[in-house]
Amino acid sequence: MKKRALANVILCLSIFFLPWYISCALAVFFGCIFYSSVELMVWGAIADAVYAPGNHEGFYFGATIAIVSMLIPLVVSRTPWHR
Amino acid sequence: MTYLRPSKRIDPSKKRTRRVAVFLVVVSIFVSFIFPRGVARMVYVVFSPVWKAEIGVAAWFLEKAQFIESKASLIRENEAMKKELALHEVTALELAQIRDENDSLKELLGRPKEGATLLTSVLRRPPISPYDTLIIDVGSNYDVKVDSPVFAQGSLALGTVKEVFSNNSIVELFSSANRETEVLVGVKGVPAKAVGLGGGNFKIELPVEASVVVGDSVRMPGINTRVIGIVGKVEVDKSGSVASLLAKVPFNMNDLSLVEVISNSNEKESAR
Repeated sequence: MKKRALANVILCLSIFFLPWYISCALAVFFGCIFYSSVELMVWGAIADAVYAPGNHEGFYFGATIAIVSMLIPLVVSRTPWHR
Repeated sequence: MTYLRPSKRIDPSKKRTRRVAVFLVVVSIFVSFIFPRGVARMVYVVFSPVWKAEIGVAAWFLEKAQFIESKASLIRENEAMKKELALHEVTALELAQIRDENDSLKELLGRPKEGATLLTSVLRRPPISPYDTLIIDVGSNYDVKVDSPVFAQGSLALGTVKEVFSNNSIVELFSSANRETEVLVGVKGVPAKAVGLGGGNFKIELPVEASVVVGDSVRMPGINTRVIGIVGKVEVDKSGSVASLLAKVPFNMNDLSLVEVISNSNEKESAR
């Protein structure tokens, strides 16, 4: 839980103080580490609201990362070499 | 043989996780689709003072960092800048005279002057902003309106105000992805449509006969000369009839610290 809280703090700071491509890289990194990071959708939505209200690309990006990162362990657990 | 069936009870921690996940999905939909301006307003209230302080602190550090540089390199840099300044002084004087003459002629012909110019600092700019937008530190408190034109360095057209808050505004640059702007290209002033590609870049398609070359200016239509870009590359398609121009804003986005907002301007219609 502490790691996820730290990840959220880092994402918050990156959205407001760092270039967007660094925020994206961090979002992908945290999305792969914390499998069900639905928080990423919230951060994507906040980035949309702050920099371009009415745009939804950040929200869709966060949702994609969250869904993919949830699917990865699901797929991996069904591969032959995992069993 | 009998086997112990697994319990059908859901682990309370998993239940809690699911509830938190559903809550976060609802919050993100609410933020993105229903209440984006409210979230932006809250963020600006919290972060605007921090962003302003960051600009001041960064400037202080840059000033102190000069003490680390060697005296010889500072002297060399000073001499080079003096020479460059001397070259530009004459050009600046000529431009000022031409501008005054231009304004006088417009007054004689009955053209109204532009509205009041408001100088404002840029709090956030690309690449921190992912949408080719700027956050400036003036809003409705200084009577900024939506669609007000925004300029830099006097004659460079940047974009228009997209959202106005009480103490901040969001400026959408002309180079924002998929934004279309009516422009004039080159010496002949060929009318065209510039499509934003993001990152300060535009794409323009013209017939080859327009004879546009690299270095030609891309400017806003209207009586006031407002440059929005410079042609950087010309590509002709296989048929040889259409030229695709790639233009770029003529300044470094990282150097953009001050911009001018014009209120009550007659150029609002052409800037859309």
